[in-house]
Amino acid sequence: MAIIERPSSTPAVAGAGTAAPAVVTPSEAYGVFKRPVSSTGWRSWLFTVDHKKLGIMYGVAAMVFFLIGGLEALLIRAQLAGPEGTVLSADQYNQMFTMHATTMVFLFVMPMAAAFANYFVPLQIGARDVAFPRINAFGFWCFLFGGIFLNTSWFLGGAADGGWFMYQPNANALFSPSHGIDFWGLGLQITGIASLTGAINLIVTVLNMRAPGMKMMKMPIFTWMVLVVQFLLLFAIPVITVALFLLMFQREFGATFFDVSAGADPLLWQHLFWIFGHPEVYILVLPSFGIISEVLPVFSRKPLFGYRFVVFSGAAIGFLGWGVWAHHMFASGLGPVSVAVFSVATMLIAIPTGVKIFNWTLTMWGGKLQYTVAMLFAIGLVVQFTIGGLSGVTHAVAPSDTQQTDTYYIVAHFHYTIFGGAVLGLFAGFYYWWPKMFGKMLSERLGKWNFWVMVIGMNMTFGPMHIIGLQGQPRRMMNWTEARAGEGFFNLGFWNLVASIGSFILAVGVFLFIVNVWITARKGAKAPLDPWDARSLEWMTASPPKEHNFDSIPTVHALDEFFHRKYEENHETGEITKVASAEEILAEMEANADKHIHLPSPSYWPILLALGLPIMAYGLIYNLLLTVIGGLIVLLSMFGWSLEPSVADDSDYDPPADSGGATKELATLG
Amino acid sequence: MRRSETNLDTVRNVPTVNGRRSVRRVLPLAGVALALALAGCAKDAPQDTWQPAGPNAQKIHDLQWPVFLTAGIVGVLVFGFIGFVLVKYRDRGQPIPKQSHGNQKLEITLTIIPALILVGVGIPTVSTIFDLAKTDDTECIVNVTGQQWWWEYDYPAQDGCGGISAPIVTSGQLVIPTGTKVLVRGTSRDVIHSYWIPALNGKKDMVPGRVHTLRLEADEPGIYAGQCTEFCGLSHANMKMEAVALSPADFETWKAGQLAAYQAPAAGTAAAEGESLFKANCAYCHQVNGLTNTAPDGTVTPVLANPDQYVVSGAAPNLSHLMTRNTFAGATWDLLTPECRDRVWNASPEEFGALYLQGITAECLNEVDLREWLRNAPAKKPMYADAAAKEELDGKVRGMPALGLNEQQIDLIIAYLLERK
Amino acid sequence: MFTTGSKLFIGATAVSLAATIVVGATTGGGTGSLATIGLISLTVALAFLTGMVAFVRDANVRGTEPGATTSAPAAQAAPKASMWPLVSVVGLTLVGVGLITAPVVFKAGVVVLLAGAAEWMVQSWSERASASASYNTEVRRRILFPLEFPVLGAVIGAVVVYSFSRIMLYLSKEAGPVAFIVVASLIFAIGILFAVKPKLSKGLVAGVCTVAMLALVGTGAAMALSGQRHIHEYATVSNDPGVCASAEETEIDYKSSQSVAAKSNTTATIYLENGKLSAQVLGITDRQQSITIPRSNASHIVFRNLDAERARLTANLGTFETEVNGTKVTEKPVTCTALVEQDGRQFLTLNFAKSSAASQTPYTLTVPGVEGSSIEIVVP
Repeated sequence: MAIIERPSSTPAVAGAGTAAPAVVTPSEAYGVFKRPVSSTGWRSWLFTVDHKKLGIMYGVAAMVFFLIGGLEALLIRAQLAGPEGTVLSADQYNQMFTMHATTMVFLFVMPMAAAFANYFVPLQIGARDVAFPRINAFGFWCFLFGGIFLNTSWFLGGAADGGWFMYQPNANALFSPSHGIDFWGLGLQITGIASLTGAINLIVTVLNMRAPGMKMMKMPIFTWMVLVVQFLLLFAIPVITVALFLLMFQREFGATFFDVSAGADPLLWQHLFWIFGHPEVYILVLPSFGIISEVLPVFSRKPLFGYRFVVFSGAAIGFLGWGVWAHHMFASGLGPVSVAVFSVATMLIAIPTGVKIFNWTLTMWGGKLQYTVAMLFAIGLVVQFTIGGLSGVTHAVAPSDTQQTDTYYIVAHFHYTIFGGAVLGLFAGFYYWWPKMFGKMLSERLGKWNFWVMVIGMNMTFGPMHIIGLQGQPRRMMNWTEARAGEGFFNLGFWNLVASIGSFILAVGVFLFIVNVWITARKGAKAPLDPWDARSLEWMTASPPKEHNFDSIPTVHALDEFFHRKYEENHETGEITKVASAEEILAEMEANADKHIHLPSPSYWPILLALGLPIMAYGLIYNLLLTVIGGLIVLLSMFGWSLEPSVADDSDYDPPADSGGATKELATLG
Repeated sequence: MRRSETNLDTVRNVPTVNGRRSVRRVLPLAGVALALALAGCAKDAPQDTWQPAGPNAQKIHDLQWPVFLTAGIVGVLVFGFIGFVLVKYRDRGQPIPKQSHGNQKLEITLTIIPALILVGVGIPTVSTIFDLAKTDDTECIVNVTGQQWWWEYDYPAQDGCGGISAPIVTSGQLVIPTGTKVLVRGTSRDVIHSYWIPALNGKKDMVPGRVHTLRLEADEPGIYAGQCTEFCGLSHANMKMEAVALSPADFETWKAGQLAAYQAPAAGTAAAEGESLFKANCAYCHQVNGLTNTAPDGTVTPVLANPDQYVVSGAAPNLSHLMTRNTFAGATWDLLTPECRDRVWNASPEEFGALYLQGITAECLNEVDLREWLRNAPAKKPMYADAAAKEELDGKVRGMPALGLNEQQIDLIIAYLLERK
Repeated sequence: MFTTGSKLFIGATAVSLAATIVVGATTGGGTGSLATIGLISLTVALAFLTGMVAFVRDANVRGTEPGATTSAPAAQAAPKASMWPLVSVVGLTLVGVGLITAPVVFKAGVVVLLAGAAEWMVQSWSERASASASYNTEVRRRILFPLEFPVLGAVIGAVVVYSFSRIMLYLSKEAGPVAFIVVASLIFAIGILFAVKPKLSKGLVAGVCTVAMLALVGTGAAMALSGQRHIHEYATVSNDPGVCASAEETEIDYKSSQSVAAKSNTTATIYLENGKLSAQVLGITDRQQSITIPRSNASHIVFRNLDAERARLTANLGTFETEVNGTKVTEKPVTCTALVEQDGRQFLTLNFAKSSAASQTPYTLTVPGVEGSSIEIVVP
């Protein structure tokens, strides 16, 4: 880090008084430490601002949290496998389901979607990086440190135990005296910063950095869905932030925002939480919708059916998602008018969702379907999400919902939408984009095992929950009793056991994925340049992409630009003929490579700034002195950050010299 | 889930099948083919949401089965279509298809069809919502108050419920007359709880500071199980409830019993010793109506419980007529031995009332659980995540504390409690 | 080790530190002394600048080159125009005026003086940092922008918020939303205009923004001077028996009862109609003379006055005998709402810790001045 580079010399041209402006080329750095330069080794990851590296780190971290959250789920299912379970105590059980939901929502699905968004949005729109690379890095570290902070609560007196919805007044210090909820509230504030900065970053990137010719309606559908999600985040995160602040003040400083004896209303919390919480549902699932909207056309060898309809229904879902939060509160006692309004609004949202299911199916209609693993996961999403959607319609009927809400039926519903929707989509993304990200093919054979074990496991786990719920077993109960289990086909004991066995099968499915990754990393086959005969821009570069993504920025003429460069369609006969291979297209781009590609330089400040935040948070819980120290780190980092030029000079990428000299990848002085 | 028509006679709690309703019953039976096929023999769980036992739950049921049916049909159609596409258009070496981008007319059609289905669902939904929110046809009022982790029921003095002259306070089991429109006015003393008797109506959250209403009506005498469904802290799973429906005549008997004067135990009996132990250990929090202290100078003062000074929620169950109810500690444990419990739960609607009104006899008393409870309540029902954190509650306890009673004292207290009928 | 620039700052820091200690000691340790605080601030500011200068090593003019400060072309460049002497003088004047008039002016003067001094120093130092004028400007910006932007942003934000809040407080309750909508629409319209015509001249955009800002600040100042509208006090519950028993208007502001919860799902609504009290409770169509409230429970009650006379609802919370230091004391706690106009309503939150049986007299709701009508509260 050089805060200020000095002029290399003082070449002020003689000729007193008429001195021409000096040519300043700072080349030498002073200061406590230099700007990070390593493009290899661990430093290249810690201080990187490259959207691809950050995307991979998002993915790895999210995967680790996925395993933690999965372990929590397994403990929950182990507890509920039989009557009067004794695997966990009541307190441990409450912590377990709270953290399972929190981890899966905030630390797995959201960041995993962010991983794909980070990696592929710039590639899909033909950009060299995101708009604010250092903020991007900052966001990732906030997410990681926030997640770690949240999980340290396990070792510091117990994790949060109020449920992920953290209803007041049960989340007050009187009813939950451990520090768990403090960790929860502060940890989510920190990860919230990641979401918010990421949202702003990606919105600006998508709106401003598209390749020439790429109109909004020529954008790949995944980018479109990511854009919608970022707008949802932009408006939803502030709401939860406010709610968390109120919670924090109530717990730490004795405020009375939800205190009945002070005249407040605990339902205020529910409104705040669900105004965030419902859009959050779409934040989780829309990226996966985007992923399979990429995967299905590729393996159907057909464009997405009704691209415009899919885009607008995605936007419609995003918009309507703001008007339905109270359907989480049908039993809260809102009064019939509110309930009726939200009931109808909730039904409306089924329409754009239905449109998407139809469009995906009709994309496959008349196609040439190749059942690769990515395609299997995508089809899995369509089928499983439809089940979740249909059970969702039964929830929209408010009177019926008062029987089903807070039972296992709703647990079944949202796992079909979130696991069957969001998570299967993410796995489709893994298999589809793995060769692009790492240049190696994940094993298709092991992948098929992975798919089928996972799908069977998930249906065994969550399918029986429909029955368990309709039989009246409420959720969030640390045990169930034989006395209320019933007999015969619908016996709760039997179906609880099936669900528990299913959850372990599901875990095996996830394990197979890890094995697949492991094997691929060790001795996977090198991926061809265009293994799937894909359609969008991200495939129009090397695998893995070079640091600067594209040698020359492509000019876009059509939706599915890459496909149209490879194939020509005879408009009379509809016959498709191949006119170029991916290698030829890439070679042509390389031949016309841009000169002096300007790339952002690595920086210490994002990680340092993010590191200050959990220190401040620990201080709020334990000792304000620590907060001051954390605050100083934050302050110093902010200064360092603003004093640092965003680009080290002389870090341009120059194409290989004609003589075939070594590629000067990212010159690293400065 | 619904069970098949042929088994209805073997089952307890069969709602009256009148003409109007039987038609509606046959329809879903014919329709939900899958559920029918699955509907085995035996009994479903007592909290089954598809077995309405009163008009309110029936209204919900009449609304939900067509929705489930429609959803099922739509699901089958969609999956059939997807399956067809997956088989028909699999890659068999055909050329790359025409790059068609969609079909506007088809898409608009496919948008309108679900919209129409939802309009069909929406209209009856809205009317049912307003039906279930009505409060102006009430025939009996019960105030229900939730706290960690039990429910208190108080029947205000009223002309309803066949006339109640003085307030009745009880807990654990809500007792209502059959065929009467009961309005529950619920609130909470600490955190949010949710009141749910699936056979009688959907659930309603009970929120501190707010009074929420819930209509309940049972067709037949019997016990209907329920469970607190809003996560309410450590012992959330142990916050159960039961609604007991008695015929109006039996309900009169029950009311008279609840308002009966205090029967002091005969001098010299174990129960009399138990009474003084009760005063010394229990009466701080638990009210027993009519219990008195006699000072040395002969003045008689009533013993009044002050749970507000000792318990976080400020309340403890009224034990005046403990042995008329079948459960204790938030309806988590039975006061009846398993055999006696089964006898009451499986009684026919005609016999049920008499059996229930017997209360708990010495032979039927479930001493095992009651003794464990009196010995160390927090060990039986989790009340503190961390026992050391007790100090943070301003010197008050959450739920019942461990009283440090020895076995002999427990004997005496049980002897006293057995007479609380 | 130390560069020329940092030596200057170290010296300045040391002098001000010494001055701080001397002044502090002579004024008796004076923690409250304004001079001490000012000097401490100055020391801290100088120490910070010392750190910055040492940290960036005088913006890289080699401290090891002795001739650099004199022989470098930078030394020959004429200093640029500067506003900071003016600002510093303004600060100094404010300090003087403040000493005579009001402390707030004095404090403002100190702040301005400090800001001016700091800016002045950094500017004059940066102009000699190197040979390149553009580079020197860059140096100044890099050091001061991180300070200037947040501070200026906060100041401008505060001015805008303050002005706007004065406007909203001046306008009547009805006019407020209208003004809000008009201003918001105007901003929206101008925003759209700027967006669709990106090639508008910068001067025009700046002009529009300046005019808007001036209008806002001007209106805000004018309205701040003319004072705010009358704001009705909603927070009006009293625990004073004297107040509760009277029918006189008393200004009481004890605890807010204009709450979200109280607006819906209340325990009961108490009506005063034709000199009679009656209670409306959920589930019963007829008005009642008695209501039942569970004990140990915060219950919200609404009082509606339908009579022409102003009235307050008083809750008589029983009679209890307690022993204080061996003598028996009778307590009769009460609580009440403020006076309610015709058709007005008030909220009362009640919490009965003891059952009715524990009180020597029943819990009742009454209205002072309205005799013979009360509502009994039964707490089982």
